[in-house]
Amino acid sequence: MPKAAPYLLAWSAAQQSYTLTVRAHHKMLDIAPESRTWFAWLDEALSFTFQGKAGSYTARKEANRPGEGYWYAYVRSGEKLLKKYVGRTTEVTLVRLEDVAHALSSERDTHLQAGSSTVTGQVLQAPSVQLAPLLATKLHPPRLRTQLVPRFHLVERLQHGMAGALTLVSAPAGFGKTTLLSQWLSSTRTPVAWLSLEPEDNEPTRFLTYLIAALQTLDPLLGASSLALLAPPQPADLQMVLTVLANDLMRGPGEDFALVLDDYHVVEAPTIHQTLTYLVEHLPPQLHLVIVARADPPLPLARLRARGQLTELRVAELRFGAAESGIFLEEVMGLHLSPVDVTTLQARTEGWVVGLQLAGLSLQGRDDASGLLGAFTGSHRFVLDYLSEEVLSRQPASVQAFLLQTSVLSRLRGSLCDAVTGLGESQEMLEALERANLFVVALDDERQWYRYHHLFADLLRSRLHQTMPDLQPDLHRRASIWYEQHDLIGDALHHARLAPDLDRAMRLVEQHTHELVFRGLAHAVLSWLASLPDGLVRTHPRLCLSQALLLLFTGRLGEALLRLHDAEQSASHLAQADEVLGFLNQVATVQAYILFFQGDLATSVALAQQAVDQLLERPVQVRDATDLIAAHRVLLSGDVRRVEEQRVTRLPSAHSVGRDVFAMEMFVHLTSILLQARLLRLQGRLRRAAATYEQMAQAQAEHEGELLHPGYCFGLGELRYEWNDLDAAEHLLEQGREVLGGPLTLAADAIAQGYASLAYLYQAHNMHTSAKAVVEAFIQLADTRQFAPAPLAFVGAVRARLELMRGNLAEAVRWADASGLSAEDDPYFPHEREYLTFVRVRIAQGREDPSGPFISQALRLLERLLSDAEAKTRTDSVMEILLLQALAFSALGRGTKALAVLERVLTQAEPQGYIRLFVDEGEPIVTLLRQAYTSGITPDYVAILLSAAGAPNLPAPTPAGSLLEPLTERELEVLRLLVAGLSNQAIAQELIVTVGTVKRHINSIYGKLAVQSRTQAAARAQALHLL
Amino acid sequence: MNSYEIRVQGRLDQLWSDWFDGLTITYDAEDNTVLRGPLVDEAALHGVLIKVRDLALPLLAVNRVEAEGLEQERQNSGETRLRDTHLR
Repeated sequence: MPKAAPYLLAWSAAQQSYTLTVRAHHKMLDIAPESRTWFAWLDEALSFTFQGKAGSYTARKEANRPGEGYWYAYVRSGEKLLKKYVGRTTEVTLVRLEDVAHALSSERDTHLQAGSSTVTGQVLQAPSVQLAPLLATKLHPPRLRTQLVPRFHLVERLQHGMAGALTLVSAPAGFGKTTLLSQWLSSTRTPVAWLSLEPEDNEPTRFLTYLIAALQTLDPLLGASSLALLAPPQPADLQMVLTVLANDLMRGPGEDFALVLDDYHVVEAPTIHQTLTYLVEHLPPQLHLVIVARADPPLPLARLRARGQLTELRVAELRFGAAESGIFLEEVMGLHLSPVDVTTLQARTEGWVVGLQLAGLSLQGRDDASGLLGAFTGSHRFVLDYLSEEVLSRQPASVQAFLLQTSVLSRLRGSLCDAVTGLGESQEMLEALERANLFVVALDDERQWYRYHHLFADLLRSRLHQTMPDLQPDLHRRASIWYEQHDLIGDALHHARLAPDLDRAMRLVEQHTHELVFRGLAHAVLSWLASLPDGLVRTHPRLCLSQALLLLFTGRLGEALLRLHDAEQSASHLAQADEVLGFLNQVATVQAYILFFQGDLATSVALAQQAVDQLLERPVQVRDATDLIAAHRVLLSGDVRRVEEQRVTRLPSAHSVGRDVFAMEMFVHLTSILLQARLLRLQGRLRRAAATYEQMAQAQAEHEGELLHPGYCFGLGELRYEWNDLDAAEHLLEQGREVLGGPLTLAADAIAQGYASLAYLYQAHNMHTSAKAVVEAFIQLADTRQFAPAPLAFVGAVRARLELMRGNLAEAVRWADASGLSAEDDPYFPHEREYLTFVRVRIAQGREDPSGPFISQALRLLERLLSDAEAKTRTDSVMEILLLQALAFSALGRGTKALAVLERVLTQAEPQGYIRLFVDEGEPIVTLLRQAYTSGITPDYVAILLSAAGAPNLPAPTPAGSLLEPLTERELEVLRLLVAGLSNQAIAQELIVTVGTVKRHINSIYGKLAVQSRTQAAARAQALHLL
Repeated sequence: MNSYEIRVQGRLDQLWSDWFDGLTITYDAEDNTVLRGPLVDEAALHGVLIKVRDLALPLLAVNRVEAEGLEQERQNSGETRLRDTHLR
């Protein structure tokens, strides 16, 4: 490790050609690039290293489904892993590989030059899917000093511990835990990942992000898919991330490896302990966890101990014995003491390494060693107090001042210390302190970052507090300024709060909200904001907006809306009046975004439209997001006449997003495809809609590998359901439910539709309890996610329809009566589904009570619904409305009319393969379909529908002996004359009636025979033996 | 508000009083240190215990004691000093 790809494809300048070799055997493969064998090899291979003319990277295949491989290029750039899409297996050519190499190397250059730039003033500036730069020092074991006491027996025990799942190194501060681990690290052949924890890591997302980042120092691909789930703005549920991570680790490297979590005692969050417990219990056998802490972590240690899975190193083992103390004082501290003195010191310090080190420092350069020893052992003073005073008082005043002033810092760096102390040459000072063993630990190999030994830092801070309390605010303020200048906003805020400098702290939050979210500090900042007086926050509009964003990014949408309201109310506090309009529109944009996901489409679209109209200069991501939300107005009007052209033109540009993909771009891109697919569905173009969903999955696979979008799962699942492909539909819809916990969000109304389809699907299997459970699950989800009333009203109608389907008319009627809907309403498209269910209930009532007003109510409502749907070319709606009309006519006994309407539906629905549209109407539609079949209306299609409805097979459509509605005597007479070839005029004369009457009779005959012309009528009459 | 008495091994300098949330530092007959004073709640007590742990002080005993007289003592010891709100 790092795991090298098994193959190497390299450009050889000498031979002016590319060669492909198997790394393990240095064996050259005789495969000509882009030959048939080449693609066959690509099909088999999982990864290879490419060393082209334009640069090198690792190419890796990610299979979304069997038989389809997508290749990606990975290359490390500083702390960041760059990823680029190469193409499908069939597209991997030398030219393409070189193109990618070229693109990656220029991207790498810009990335390295740019460092971390921040953009301010972007309300919905997208947090990157890639990780925000991590603090590399946390992933780095502290550097070993050159001289150390060899502790072979302990190192051996650590190595031995690799046989079990967990090793616990638990002892108070100053017992040399970290040093021991570093010693083991330098001798072991086991690859080891390292993570030093800090109090900020109590945020589970941040903890896991760093944990995975630590693992990736061994293999850059380890845990990559779980890392993607943790990306802001909406990190996935922890449980989901853990499951993915455990799977990832299972597929990880075959050899043993270890993960060290240093300073685990700073972790207090119960969720993190649970997380770790889960990981310990699901660890693949190759991974060993080493926890280093001052206190035992709340993990199931007893269980692990009983299973022999736990190795423990505790105070008893870590104490220096007499022999080790002797070596330490002699070799490390350079002292020559008598064995008696060594024993005395060891006894007085009880083998506490820090105590010995302080003793050694006090003794250095002293003539009267035994004098000090006598006084020291004779004293009851705390070892640390006694000796540190000895040590500090012997330092020059400048060193003492440096130590005290920089003790406010949790990490030290030359320029940072310069800023805090107001003096120069801090770097030299740090290096000198390190050489002098003065409790300074180097955190990286470049000697850029240091920290004080924790114990020593506590001591210094206590002294500072005691001796120079007035200096502290300034020290913290200077540290805060340095950190802000270096874009380390979390630390800048930390020191601003410690100063305390409230104005500065608030300004940092206002200006760097997104940065704080990237750094996984959203929760920490929110709890700080919560500790401020409410009145203070309310009078700072930008702070309100920042807090709302933080709440949004931590999934607390309801509270976010309240804060946005405060922001609006307090906008007048803004310093400059001309900022107010822009600010209000920023607030409106965030409101629109939240309401969009909560399913309040009407308000959301209105707010987005307002921002589009008024906010002329918007950052690009905000513009796209607001434009897109505003475009959802078609889902309010239901007018799908013109939308297609617009949406399609958007797609290609969205597809070309191939570089560093931003979450917000991704949101805009995927949501616009989803909108397109939903519109196609409304237009009744199911096949095009399905193709669009597939297109979406493909676009997404290019960016996110295995992640599925809930919108894709639900959307395609609904189509599969319509096509009666119940197994595939169930799989997709259930998958949709599952990935809802993931980082990709979906608007509440789309979620509601997905759940509805799943409920109907279970109902189709006669699993009413499961169907109801799905509805209840949605209601619960709506509660957790604070959905708007609209999707809940929709689901209320779904529940009523489920009752109707299982024959519980009473319950359905109760819903209809309480729904607030009325037959006299002017239906509004967003509520169309509810109205249609209302109509179904009324028709069912009409069947029971044909003399009641129900059917006519239903028909009136359907008439209005139909004219709206037809005017706006919403074919999907048109078909459903017509179908219900047919059922209403049939319930009235008007079979001919019913069949005629049904025929319209069948002709339109057949090309798109609609099935559940019909079948879900139950027994009444089966009766009607049988009649259609008998009458020869699209018989093949009808046969499919009937079989889907579980109706027994029918004979081939042969003329039946009777008509549904027999011809009257008078009509038979007319028919006879008609067949005989008489004109209407002649028939009128023959029967002594007017021509108009004849025409009426003929129309009625045509209707009953389901024919359009005289010839057809004649044929039909003959077939049916009517004459 | 409860008062507590925390006994740790060894003689701890008076200097640490501020570090331990203003608890008073006294010594018992065996020259061990007694930290004593009111703490706002159990969470504050655990905070102090963590500081004891972090200084690697051997802990001998923790007792809850009657608050009598302590409040006065505390007010005399310059209670109003601005207290850190620790982020870390």
